Amino acid sequence: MVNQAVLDSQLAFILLAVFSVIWIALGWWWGRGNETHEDYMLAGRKVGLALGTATAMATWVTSNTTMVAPQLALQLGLWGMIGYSFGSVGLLLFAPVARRIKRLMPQGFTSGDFIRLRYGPIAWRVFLGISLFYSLGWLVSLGMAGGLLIQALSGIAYWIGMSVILGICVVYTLLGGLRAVIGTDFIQTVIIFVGVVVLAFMVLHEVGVDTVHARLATERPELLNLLMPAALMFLFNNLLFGIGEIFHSNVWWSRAFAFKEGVGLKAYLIAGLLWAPVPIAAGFIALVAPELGLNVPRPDMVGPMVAAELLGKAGAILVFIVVFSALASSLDSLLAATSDLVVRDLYQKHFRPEATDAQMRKAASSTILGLGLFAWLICLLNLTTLASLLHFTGAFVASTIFPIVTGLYWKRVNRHGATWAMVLGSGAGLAGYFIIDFYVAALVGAAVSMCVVLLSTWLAPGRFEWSRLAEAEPASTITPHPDLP
Amino acid sequence: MFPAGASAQGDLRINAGRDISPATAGYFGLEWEAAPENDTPFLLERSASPSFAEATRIYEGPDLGTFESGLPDGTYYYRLSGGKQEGPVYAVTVKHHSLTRAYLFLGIGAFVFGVLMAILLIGHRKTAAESGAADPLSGGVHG
Repeated sequence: MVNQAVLDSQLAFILLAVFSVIWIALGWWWGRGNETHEDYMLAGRKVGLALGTATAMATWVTSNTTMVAPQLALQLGLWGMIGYSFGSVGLLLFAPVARRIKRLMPQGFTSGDFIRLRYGPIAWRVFLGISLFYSLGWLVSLGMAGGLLIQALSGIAYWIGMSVILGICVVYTLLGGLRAVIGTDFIQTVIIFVGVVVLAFMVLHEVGVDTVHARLATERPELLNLLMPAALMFLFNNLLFGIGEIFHSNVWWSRAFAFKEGVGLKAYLIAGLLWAPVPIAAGFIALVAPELGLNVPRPDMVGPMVAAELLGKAGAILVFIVVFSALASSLDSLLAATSDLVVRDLYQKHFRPEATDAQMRKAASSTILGLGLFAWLICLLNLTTLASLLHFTGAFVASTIFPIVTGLYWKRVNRHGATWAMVLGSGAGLAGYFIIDFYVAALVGAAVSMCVVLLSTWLAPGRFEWSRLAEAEPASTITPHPDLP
Repeated sequence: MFPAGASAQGDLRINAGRDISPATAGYFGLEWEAAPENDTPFLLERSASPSFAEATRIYEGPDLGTFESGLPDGTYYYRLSGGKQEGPVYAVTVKHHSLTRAYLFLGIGAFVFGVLMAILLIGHRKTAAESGAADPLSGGVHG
């Protein structure tokens, strides 16, 4: 526990109120353009390059980038910092995948649609279990990050800050759907970029690289060791974890469906390149902590604490705004995309195939509220550190990489192989997590999943027709919405 | 709740005496509980020997924990005090994974990533060529 705060709690409440009003007003404004449920889910499938790049970039700059990247720098040193920036590889590699998705499934809605059509109902349900577990884990980690940040900077109780951040994002996502999410993401990207650049510059100006290096060499020498064993094990783990997160999650698939033809490839490439330096800048801030003689009670708070300590009130306000924007830009995306997955893959495909547009809209609203409430309840328990929670899900998501990639490019992958790859990969990844540590979970999961896919394809090749993916099916049985003119 | 001045060792125990050794990545957290009757700051010291012949001051202040990282292999002894009270010595052993194990995981990761890249690159080139052939107006690979 930290017993000191740098930001006056009254000022923090004012900042929270100002940004809450802005995001909610924008959510309402952009939400007015939604006429059908498909508009609400996929922003009319007309998102262009600038907004597409901004939303991909902002969604991937999360509280994890601004808070876990510094934590990993403090835990695993230089490789922790650089390894975290390898998360950009996921965005870069998803660029051609997004193009492929758009070509194969021009009328698709969710990542669940692909697994259902490509591998059948059993694989689909396994995938939904993995994806929903990951989404909820991410949602909880974002809510926790909000509460921790506000508490560390202003002394406002953890549960109040966490409740405010979750509440605001639920309200404006509810009002505006994906259109509001993408619109606010654009503004949040600008804030994050300017904020991180200013912070990094100010830190470098205040504390030189030489003094940071000298202090680390004396007090924490292993952080500079390029052969630190755990850090070496972490490198590809983090890379594969990031790829697994992006390749499977409906957050990224829904954008691939929402982008105009030809936008996905460029948007994800540019976003990946722009994202890569952010964790390095954020991670470097953590390495300054020993030089400042700063006590770090919780490693996930090191980034905001250093910025506040070094830059005083201005730094605290800047960090507050940057992380608040990063949190909101990811929380809203996650709420919208997870709601799509639940409404489309659970509600409509399992229980109400004939659901009308109005019923789908109502289900989406209820789901967003329900997800927010669920995350709030789990966040209240504040059970673990952000990195532990996040990396626990790594075992699951990394096991989906090969079923998805081979499923998009190879006709011969069979449904049983894909299902077992996800099940055995997740199990092996979890074993790695508990037997060794978090920094091998995704790596083990991906490796086992890869072996199962390759072996099963070689032993029992299937024969899939790509045309089966182009399911010409509306999001709902369209009937005019009673509230629409 | 303990009466004032009683059970100093209970209040000043690090990690409630729980053993967290070995720390295989050189990092670990240290936590302690507040002593409500005592407003003086905590002092946390670290030494290479249980006798604390030579000790390093790690932290002095009101926080209820700290985070150690970047430590090389060895056994580290910690002692927490608050005012005139002193907690029991707490030992943590750091033993990093072997480099053989690290290289093994690094190699597996590189191999998995290599296979993934190969599937994506070959798949992308093949499908781009196919779609270009099927649709002469598509503008080629990046159209």
